[in-house]
Amino acid sequence: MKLFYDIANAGFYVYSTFIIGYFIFVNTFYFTMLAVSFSAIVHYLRRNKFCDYTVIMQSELTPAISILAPAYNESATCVHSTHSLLKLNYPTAEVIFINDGSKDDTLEVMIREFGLVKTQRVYVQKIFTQPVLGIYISTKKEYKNLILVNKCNGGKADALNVGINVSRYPLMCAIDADSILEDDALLKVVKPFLDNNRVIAVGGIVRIANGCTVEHGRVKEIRLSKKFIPSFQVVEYFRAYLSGRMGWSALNGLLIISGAFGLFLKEIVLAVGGYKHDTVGEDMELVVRMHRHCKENKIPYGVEFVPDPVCWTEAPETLKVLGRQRNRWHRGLIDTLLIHKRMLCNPRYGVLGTLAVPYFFFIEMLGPIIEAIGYIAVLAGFFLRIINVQIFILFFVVSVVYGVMFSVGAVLLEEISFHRYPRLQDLLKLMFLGVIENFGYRQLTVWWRVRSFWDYFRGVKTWGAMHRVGFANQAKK
Amino acid sequence: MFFTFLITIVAIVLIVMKIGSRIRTAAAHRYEQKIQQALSEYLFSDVEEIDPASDPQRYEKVLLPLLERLRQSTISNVTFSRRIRRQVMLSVMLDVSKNLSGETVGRLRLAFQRLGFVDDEVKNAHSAHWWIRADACRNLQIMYAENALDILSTLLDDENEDVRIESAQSMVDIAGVEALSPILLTIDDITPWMEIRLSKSVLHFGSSAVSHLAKGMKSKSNRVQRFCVEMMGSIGDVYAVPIILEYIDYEVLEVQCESLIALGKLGDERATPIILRYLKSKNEPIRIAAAAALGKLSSPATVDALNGLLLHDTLQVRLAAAEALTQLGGIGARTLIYSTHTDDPETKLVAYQFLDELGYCVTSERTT
Repeated sequence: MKLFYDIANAGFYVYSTFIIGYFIFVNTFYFTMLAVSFSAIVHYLRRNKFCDYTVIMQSELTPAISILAPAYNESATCVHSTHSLLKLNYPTAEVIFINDGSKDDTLEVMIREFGLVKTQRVYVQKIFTQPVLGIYISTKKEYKNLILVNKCNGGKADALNVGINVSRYPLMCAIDADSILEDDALLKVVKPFLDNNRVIAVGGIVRIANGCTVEHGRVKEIRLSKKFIPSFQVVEYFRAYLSGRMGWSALNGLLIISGAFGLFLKEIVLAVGGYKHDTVGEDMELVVRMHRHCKENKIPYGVEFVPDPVCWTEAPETLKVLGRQRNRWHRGLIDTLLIHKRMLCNPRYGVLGTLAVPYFFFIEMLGPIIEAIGYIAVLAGFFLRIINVQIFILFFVVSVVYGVMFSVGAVLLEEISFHRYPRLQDLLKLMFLGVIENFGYRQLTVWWRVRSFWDYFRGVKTWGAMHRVGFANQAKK
Repeated sequence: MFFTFLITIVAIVLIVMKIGSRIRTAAAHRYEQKIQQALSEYLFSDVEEIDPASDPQRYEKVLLPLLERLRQSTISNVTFSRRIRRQVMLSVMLDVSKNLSGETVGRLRLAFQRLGFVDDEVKNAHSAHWWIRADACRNLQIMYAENALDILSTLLDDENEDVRIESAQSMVDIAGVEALSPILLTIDDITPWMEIRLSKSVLHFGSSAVSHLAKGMKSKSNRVQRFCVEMMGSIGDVYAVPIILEYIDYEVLEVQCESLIALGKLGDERATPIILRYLKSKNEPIRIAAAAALGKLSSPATVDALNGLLLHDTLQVRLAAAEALTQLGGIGARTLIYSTHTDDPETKLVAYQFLDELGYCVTSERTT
């Protein structure tokens, strides 16, 4: 019995030491990224001073953009979102709305609202997709830049591939049909393509619209939601975008461009075969494949993130839907990293192989498992009196206090740089949420991500239903 | 307890920062108003009417007392340091310059020179920080500092893209069209952003820029050459036709295609037989460019040639030909309608697509 106790004691001690070391390493890395991001944001703001976006708006030389909006059962939000897309400030853009075999009345709603009629059009399958049932254009002059493609259901990636096949312009902007872009978002997201001929993809920031007032497809007033779940996600998005993606972009190691808002060079997307349709993380997978294609073919390239052009999205408001979303995101991450495992710790891929992919593999992908076991082991060890109070407090400090500081740091970064939440009470609430999310909410997200491993290895490929309230209803709420 | 303490500290720091920022902003605002008032007095006071171009020395002499009053009225503030005061003053003057016209512009430029702001910006143009150099270039342009052209031209080689763009833009704004060819020949490469910025000035200069763009064709950068051809096409001066024709067989495909498109934009019928020759090129991008160019040149030969492409070429060329036909008006549309009766399904589909886009025959019954 004593031997068993000694072994357990040693095991707990070793694991708790490992987990503390892991947390110190991870959080130190996060803080380094926060510093890199801060520097990158300062650089971005300085550059922005020399950019007059009206010049881009008025120039005939500005490259044209095809906006791809895939939709599945989006009848609640599609009209608002499409109006918002058609009103965007950009000299030449076409909006391609792809109805991915919706079971609700998305198609009928769109036909009615925009006066669409079926038309003949050359459809070349540069990328293989599910059959296209019809291509619609509007009889109304004000909607001449809108094209609706009705197709058999094949998933978001397949819908985007149809959009790529239909699109005419050299740049393609992939967005979610339930998102709202700010008026000048395209002008801002295209800028890196204008600055550097080698840029192949640019991601914009995604912010949470819950709580904001949305009128006629535009966000009129920015406020935090009164509900806790969407508000927690605001802090999470700050961390992910302003700290994470900005930092990786500065290191040219950006692996994720959100499916909700990204601009791509169509030529390269076609060269890699478009979106992969049998993964739930098609946005990340495409970016990693584009990186890989350029590296393997020795094509000089850049993938950038711009923190200013905003895409507003509706975040899940219930734990059930949020859990499904996080589960899907993590399955997408696992899938992408396993597809491209060849890049892991491979110096041939430069920063990607030596830093970005290992980070996503060991910290983002495996992190939840290590963290979950750490919580259980340390708590069990403490209550069984195998580990002492000092180690328990140290664990608490490195896991939770570091987390609090990182979240508050991300909120401060937002406040210093873009300051999109003008009300002081919203700022204080964000600070408060940055603290309390570490007690329960964070552990819940860890649990969802751990569960995603089980679903992934069982072969689950579903997205799970995402209930949307709709922006018009958001305002009423 | 710890977290309550932490959040209280952060909240207090934020509130103090916000209050401090508001107090400073209010003080700066008051000071700005004072400078604006003094500047208005300087700019709009009645003085003896003298043409600054014919007698600049006398003009300056008349304005000097007013200028001295402006200087005195702005140095009495003790809230801010001299550096901050000069920064605020400069920012007010730069802001005011956007809304001035006529003689007051000359007064403001004199103030920039005499109060030492031009010298400050010339110094800043040597700064180790790129954003200070870029800012200096832009300010020198607003100040219309002709004596800074040398330093601006050296910044065309700057390591930073924004500095290069700002210096080029300032040179064009200060020296006019004459600055164009030195810029085009000095820069190693041109990004789309620089193209967009420069194109605004080039199009403003119009025909007078053509000879400078022709000189720019001697640049080592193919992108600069392509830009020059594109601009000559957009300006629309037929004197550019012989210059562009020199590059129609150029070794770089991009320049060759752009030359064909520019010839089309210029709309000179002399170019039609030459462009028609390129429809038989083995190179698909050249045939596409030639088809696009013909869309601007209406003639029976053009319509026949585009119809031929629509019937017998690759899909991309057919699409370009159909689009060109839509630009030819009624005759092009009739050709497209005729093409819908052919047996070739691809030709039919292409013709239907563009007729639909023209609004000719959109029907909800037809199936894809």
